[in-house]
Amino acid sequence: MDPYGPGLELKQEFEKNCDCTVEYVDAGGAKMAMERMKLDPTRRVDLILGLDHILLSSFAQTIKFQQLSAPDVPLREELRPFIYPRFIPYDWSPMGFVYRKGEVPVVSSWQEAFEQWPDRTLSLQDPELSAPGLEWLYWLYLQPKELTKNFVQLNRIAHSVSPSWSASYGFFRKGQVQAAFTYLTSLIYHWSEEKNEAYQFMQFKEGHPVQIEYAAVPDSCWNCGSAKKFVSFLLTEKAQKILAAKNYMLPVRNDVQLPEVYTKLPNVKILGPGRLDEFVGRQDEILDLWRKARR
Amino acid sequence: MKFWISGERLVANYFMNNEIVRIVLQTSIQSVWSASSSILFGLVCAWGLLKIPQSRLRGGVQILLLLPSVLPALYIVTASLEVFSHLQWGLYGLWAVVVVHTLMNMGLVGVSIVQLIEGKMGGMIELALVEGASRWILFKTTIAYLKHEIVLIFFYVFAISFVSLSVPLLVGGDSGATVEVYIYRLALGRGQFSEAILLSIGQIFFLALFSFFLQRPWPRRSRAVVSLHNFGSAICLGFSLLISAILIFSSLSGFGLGLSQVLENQVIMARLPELLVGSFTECMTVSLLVFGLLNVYLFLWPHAILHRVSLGLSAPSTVLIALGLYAIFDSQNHNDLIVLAVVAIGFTLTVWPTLYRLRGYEVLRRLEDQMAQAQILGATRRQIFLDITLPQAWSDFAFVAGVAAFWASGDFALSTIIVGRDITLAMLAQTLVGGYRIEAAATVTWLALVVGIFVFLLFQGVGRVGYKKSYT
Repeated sequence: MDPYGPGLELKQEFEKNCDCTVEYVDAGGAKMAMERMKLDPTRRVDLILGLDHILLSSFAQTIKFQQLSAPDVPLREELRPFIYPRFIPYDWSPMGFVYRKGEVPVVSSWQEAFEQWPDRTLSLQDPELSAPGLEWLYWLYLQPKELTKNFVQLNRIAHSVSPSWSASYGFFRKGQVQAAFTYLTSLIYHWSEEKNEAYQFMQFKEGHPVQIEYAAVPDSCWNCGSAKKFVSFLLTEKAQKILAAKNYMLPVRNDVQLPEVYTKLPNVKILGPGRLDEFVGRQDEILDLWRKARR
Repeated sequence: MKFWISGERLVANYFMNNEIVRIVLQTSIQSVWSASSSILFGLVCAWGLLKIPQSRLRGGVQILLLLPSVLPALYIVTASLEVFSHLQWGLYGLWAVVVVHTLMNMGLVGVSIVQLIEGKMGGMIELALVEGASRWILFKTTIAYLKHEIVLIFFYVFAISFVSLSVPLLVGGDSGATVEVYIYRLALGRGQFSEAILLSIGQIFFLALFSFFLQRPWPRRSRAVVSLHNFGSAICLGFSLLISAILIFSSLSGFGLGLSQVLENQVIMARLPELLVGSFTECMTVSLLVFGLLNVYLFLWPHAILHRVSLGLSAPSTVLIALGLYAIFDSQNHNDLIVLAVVAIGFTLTVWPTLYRLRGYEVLRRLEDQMAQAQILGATRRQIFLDITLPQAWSDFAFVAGVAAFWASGDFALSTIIVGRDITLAMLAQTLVGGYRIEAAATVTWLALVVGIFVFLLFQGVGRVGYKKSYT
């Protein structure tokens, strides 16, 4: 459990009223969590947190989940297309390119990035190993130009494709690259903790992919009642504030008062889930194309 | 270089549809380059080390040169990339893997070559120097004389580079991906566990083929006391120390900020004693397991099958060991001590082949003649073990166990998959990296390494006490 993260405070708040003990298990990223559950489906898990919306259908094919009632809270409008019956969103963030002022030309589309960025400018995540990796892949998939041609151009500007968000962002933080694919809300960390406003976000005209984190209760749960209560708890105002303050992600509720630094975030256009099913259905084929393009 | 690059592309194009064959060939090419380069720079290192007479100072310098081989890969990778970016050289892909492997292994190779030179040729070199031989010609002659041993070292660095995971995963991209990375992708990226297991077994057999060509493991350590500082090169020493210092200090960048972050975080401070105990327990358990295993080998020695298997064995994929232990052991239902014991078993499995080759076999081989003589005189196996071989092997085994502990202090890859919660400092460091706090992660990593050094020194002490008692 990250000592700077929201986990401890959420646990303490929930345990005040539940007559239970919350125990976290770090399963790595969403992809790794899915593979671990495939490996041992009988392992006791009451609740899964951090599911990515791109992986939901893969998860649903692997594991049976309990039906959860739709969140009875005022949700943000832009998230309504992303509500599913067995998965409850609890935080989210648009994704895109964060950069440091003056280090790289600011662009507003993939095409401009391909044309204006020098070689090896950008740090990415591996879509085979990391959920954020699937997000940029989906984003690129939505571009009008043929995917293979985009991959070729991406190879030029990509410095590295790391196995995790942390490794990828580590290269960026250490100055090895001038831009990284990450969360819009990564800016909150730099602005509030480091007091460094050189970090900015490039707004793309066509819109940005969005990572939404979901909670779900697997059928194999032991404490199903408490697990469902925890899901409801995550949507309370108190929990949403903790998530915003410590997880550096946006709340799903539209009535949560956020710290002032959040008001400085740019208002970016979000891409809907319109072609998401198509992308998920073709995921293996797209990954194969990407692997071939990298050689 | 041009030939090899175009050769690699030819191979890649020809086998493009057969990904596994391509990856194996690519890994082999990377390993050949990594081993060659490590030998070349290791020779430079060795020539530099010879400038310092055998003393505590030399011991300290050796530790400095060996540190890059034990620091976590992320720090060595970013330090290497930082150095090369100052030279306007962007590193990624196969060459980045070769460069980082070289930087990590050159110290280890250099220290071993020094021991070879002093052990096998120390007296001759001293005499030649007195007779006025040129240092450069003498160095060339020395290398020619030691070519068989250097070939052995080449094959072992080849094997280490072949099974490398962290470095190619971080900077290898596609051209630098290794079989281990491919196994990682199969298991954790695509969920193809059976393919991953088959490939891991194939890798073990592939590397075991080398054991048919290698009659001995790592060349023997020298106990000779010679004075070759007139033979050594100050320039090479300066160069080697500079490389190590840059890597170590680059990986320390942000330490001050990290320290203040750690001290200000009450959650970390409250958990620090527990995590220190966790790291210490893991290190101690690994070292006790290694020490115990060495003694089992000693008791059963000589044992042709045990030797051949241990010499030819390369560790199964770290990812598969971790997933295997995860599948059979539910860490949530056990306390931290038991969990750490399981992690220690997994970690020992991954490092045992390397430790056996590096020092274990050399110690066993050294005592074979005495065992044979004692057997002829009618001593039982127990008597031989307790009265003859164990007292002599004790300090060397303690050293090997200490090295294992040092390596274990930085483990997080294996333990994160098995455990699912932070119970050691290295695991906390990995969690911190995942939450923007890379400076705090660096500080915690160095603290983990201090625990590893402490256990290493503890075993050194145990080794010295045991060694002295055996002669009283």
